Amino acid sequence: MTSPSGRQLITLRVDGEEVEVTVRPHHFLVDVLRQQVGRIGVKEGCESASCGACTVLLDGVPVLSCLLLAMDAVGREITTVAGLGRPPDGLHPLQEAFIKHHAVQCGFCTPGILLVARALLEENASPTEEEVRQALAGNLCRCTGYVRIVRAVLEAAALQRR
Amino acid sequence: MTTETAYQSVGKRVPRLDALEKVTGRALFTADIELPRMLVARVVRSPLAHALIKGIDVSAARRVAGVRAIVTGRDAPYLYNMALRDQPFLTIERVRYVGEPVVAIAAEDEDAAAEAAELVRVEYEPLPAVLDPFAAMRPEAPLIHPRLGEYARDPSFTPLPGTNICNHFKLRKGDVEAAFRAAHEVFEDSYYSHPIQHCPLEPHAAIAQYEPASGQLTVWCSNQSPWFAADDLAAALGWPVHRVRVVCPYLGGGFGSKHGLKVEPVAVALALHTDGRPVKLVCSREEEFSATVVRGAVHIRLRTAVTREGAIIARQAEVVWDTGAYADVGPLLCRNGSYSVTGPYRIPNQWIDGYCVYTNKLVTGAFRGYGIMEMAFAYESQMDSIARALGIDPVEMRRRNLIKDGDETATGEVLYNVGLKAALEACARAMEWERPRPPGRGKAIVTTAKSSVAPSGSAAFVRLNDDGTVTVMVSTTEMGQGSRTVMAQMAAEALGARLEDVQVLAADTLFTPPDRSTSSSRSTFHMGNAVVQAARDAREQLIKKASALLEAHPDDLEVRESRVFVKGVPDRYLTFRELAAVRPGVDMGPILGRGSFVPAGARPLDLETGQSPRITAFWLYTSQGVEVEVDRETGKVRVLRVVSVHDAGRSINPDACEAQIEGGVAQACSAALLEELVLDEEGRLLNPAFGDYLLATSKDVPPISPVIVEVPHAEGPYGAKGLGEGPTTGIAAALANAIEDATGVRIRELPLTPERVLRALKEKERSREEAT
Amino acid sequence: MRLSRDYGPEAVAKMGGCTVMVAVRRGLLRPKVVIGLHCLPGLDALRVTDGGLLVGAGVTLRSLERSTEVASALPVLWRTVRTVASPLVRNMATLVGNVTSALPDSDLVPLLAVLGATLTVRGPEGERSLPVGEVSQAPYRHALAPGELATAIAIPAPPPGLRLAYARFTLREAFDRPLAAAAVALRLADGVCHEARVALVGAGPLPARSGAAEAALQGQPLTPEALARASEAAMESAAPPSDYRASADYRRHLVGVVLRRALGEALAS
Repeated sequence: MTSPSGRQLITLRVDGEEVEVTVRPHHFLVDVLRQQVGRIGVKEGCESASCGACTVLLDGVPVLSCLLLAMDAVGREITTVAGLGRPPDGLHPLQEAFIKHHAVQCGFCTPGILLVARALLEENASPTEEEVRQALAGNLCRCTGYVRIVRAVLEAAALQRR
Repeated sequence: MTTETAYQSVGKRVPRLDALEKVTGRALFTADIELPRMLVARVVRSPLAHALIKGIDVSAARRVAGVRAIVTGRDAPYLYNMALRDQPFLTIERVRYVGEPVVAIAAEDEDAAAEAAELVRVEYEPLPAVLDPFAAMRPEAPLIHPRLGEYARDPSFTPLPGTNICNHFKLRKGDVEAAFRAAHEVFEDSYYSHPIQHCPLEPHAAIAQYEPASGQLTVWCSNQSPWFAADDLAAALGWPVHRVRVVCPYLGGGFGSKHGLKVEPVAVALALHTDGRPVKLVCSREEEFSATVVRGAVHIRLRTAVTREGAIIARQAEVVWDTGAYADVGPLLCRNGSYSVTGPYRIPNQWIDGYCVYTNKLVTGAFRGYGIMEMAFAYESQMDSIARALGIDPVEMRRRNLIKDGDETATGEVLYNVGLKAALEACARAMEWERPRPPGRGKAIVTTAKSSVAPSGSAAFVRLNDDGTVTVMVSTTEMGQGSRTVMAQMAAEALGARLEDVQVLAADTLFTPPDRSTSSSRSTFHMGNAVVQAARDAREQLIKKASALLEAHPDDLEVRESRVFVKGVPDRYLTFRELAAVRPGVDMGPILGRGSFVPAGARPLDLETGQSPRITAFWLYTSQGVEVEVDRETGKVRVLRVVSVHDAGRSINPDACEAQIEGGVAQACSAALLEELVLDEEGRLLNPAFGDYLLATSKDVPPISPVIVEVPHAEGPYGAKGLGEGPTTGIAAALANAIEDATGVRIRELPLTPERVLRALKEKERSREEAT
Repeated sequence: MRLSRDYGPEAVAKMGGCTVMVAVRRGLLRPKVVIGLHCLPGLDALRVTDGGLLVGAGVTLRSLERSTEVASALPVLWRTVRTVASPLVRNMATLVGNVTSALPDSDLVPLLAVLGATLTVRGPEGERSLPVGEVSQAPYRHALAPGELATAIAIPAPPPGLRLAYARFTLREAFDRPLAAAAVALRLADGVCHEARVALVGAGPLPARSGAAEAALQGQPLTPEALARASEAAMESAAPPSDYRASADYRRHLVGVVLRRALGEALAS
């Protein structure tokens, strides 16, 4: 039902939870997730789909939430970094590897990269370094030079295989 | 390689204290903060590089539903910038760069703010714009700041009113002309470093709230230096500083771009007119590129005199800094950079002129390296040119000239604990310098030195909470460099506490004591010293109290693992928890350690000669090596590897140090090879977006080997110096030198794009053909 | 179709939204109506048809990347798709969308052009198809009329023995548009070229076939000299754009380099 201002109540499925949000047709998923669903881990770094900070998983596939209209995400399974693991004990192996390898500096790119890495490992349990770099090519990081990020992803892959 | 320590925390690869927050996406950044009744801001910016404001009509904008405040420069006629108070919160009578804020709007939501912004009408009368610093220096150039002489300023700088020069730095040492006459050879070359942007992944953001009933202004912001910001805001507003509270959550990268006021003034201007409602301003990436801050272009002319053996005996330099439309830290960059154009070398005769020049472009601010990337591009490129001309191995050339303990810098300061030779030799080894190069490949090794200026102060409290846990109160901001963790490590070490009992607060000028800034690689050294002092102060109080309670002499007590033990008697101790509480019979209140540090003996530079017995706290010594391959068909440079060696004095956290080295090297490779801000003839930025402005992706960064050497600093906490900026300084020169090594072409302008390299290769071929 | 026709220039249709939504976010496009096409049935088909390919408008580059059928039927196309933009963009972007975006430097259009691919368009008047090379009128302006929607790309089966290759030059190793690129499709017999199709990026404002290069190759034994002549012909007839990324001269030079490389690869394949 649409109000005179164009606002509608829709239901989104975020990290396994159903959430009701109020949106206008032109509102992007990134803003709705951040402002109405408390998912501050979904970041905004650019407006040209070029940095990857807004990455979420849509039905398991990494996509840019800055390009998705909130309404287009209805009926889909949205996963943010909050859906990866629960602190302090229930962390995903990737999260543990990032901590261990000091693969985080400012942390702004981290949520997006973790989600892309998770999707990679679910498709390819033994990626080569080249494959890891290829998978991360759409996520910019200005702090780390990607060195420890790549190392952490490779280690998490090895851990998961065991 | 770092030395094995007997320390508990210092020198250990401790996991970052903020890692859990960041890998779970729960770390709070400024744009994540939601406050009750918060408004969002939108800024209408100048489309012209230089123009008078003839009229502003916001009547239609005001009528948009949801708009709560609209301000122009006249509603907030305040000036900021600590070095030279020249920048208005919003334009007052004229715009000086494309992107300058003219009108700001606060509204209930983004849609209303955007709609209102569309309806603002501004009438401009264009003025001739000057986009090139050399043009700006000519006598007939239009004046960008006609009232330059009236601005309040820091007396260490010399602006020239009636010109566009906001600082003229002079350094005169020895007798350059005599040295030039006596020299075996004189080399003269010009070098150009291009304009780039820091590209922190988190754009600038600020939330301002002004409560009229208490007169208290609070600003939450992505800012590196909360006290610097609070002081500047208070001075601009004419208020006592305690009415300005600056809170800095995690920063998503800074690299200098968030040092000093940037977007805070606009948010504050709005907050003064929203009757207590907070106003949030978050930059778009386009605004980040075109309207916050840049690293401006620098032009250097270097004239160097050498003996036949390659000893440098004189250097004359003219350094022109394109500082953009407002001063920001331009005058300091001009000073610190220009006096460093010596490089890490012993040069007895110097004549340096540094000009900080206004142009009608976006403001130049601090960039990681603070001018030394640009200086080193010039002096390290020239070192190789000189070495080749004299037939001396480039590494040997550096060995012969490197400054060592007891030598004097350009400004006349005698240096000790100089780790340059150690860094250079470690680099040469790691690069296998002696090994012959395969065809088509080139190698280069450079050395640089960057100073952290003195005096600047830092203060810290180390507070024992009622349960004996420890809170460290520092205004250092965490922007990814790992400061929160290393401060905890140093506090734990100096106090004798377990690391897990130590908490470090986020910077908040309401609680955390004054600190000049988180910049200049200064925090481990300055704040570290303050933290160690405060921790030792708290430790003494603990010992005093324990001495009374344990009935033991203070000299017989030791503190470790958050307990005070009687030496040699492991079961006689008191825990911090037991000691923190007030105990009957021992008249001691809560335990609070205090520390305050400033480097001793700092004196201002003489304005005529640029000399001072001490102007720096410490220097960052760096040696970097690169190996490249050049595709002769396209000019594309492939970096095969980078070795980056840094004298950290003492590495408090080797993982954090290595991570900073890797990141800085990657940033510098990206800047030298891929990045450039491009303006059109009207001064508008053509590429204000990622993809148009290229940053290195995970597939672009070469293998990087970070190496730490330790030559402890006598005054540093545990011997530590600083580290963060060293890694960016030498890369551009190393790449240019390696390209020459591989192909024989010398390029003196950045960036080292394939087109530029190919053009140089073709020119070389042409001149070879013409010669035959 | 009706929305598209009724709103005309005030409406824009999107499938993956990679071009359109970026333009909206950057304020370059302010449509009154955005028509989301992803719910339309029947546009998701990805079919190999006798060695050719039918790619529905809803088929993402990700699907093409992960299709073993595409990898075996058209390996050069498959390899090229994997280099376009970033993995995140490829997860959302569509082949049809890439073509209708009329990019001045699309990696996929030149390859599709030398393969003879066509775009199927459905409109109020019915269905039509046009060669992929004719979809762009000008950079960022496609030739579809209001009310028309692109529904599929049909790639005919390459004739047996067709040698296909694609070479590109970018400034960055990932997530970058080519400054110059060359797609070549050659039919040879006994070392003589019977048919040559060459499409270039960087020789003009849009990806386009190079008649000059094709003429230099057609009917020729493909010796190194012939390849060099074709390269020069392409360079001479090029009218490359000049911008902050590269000068016209440099693009011209790169066109020659990438064409030589593509021809070399095609011969070796």
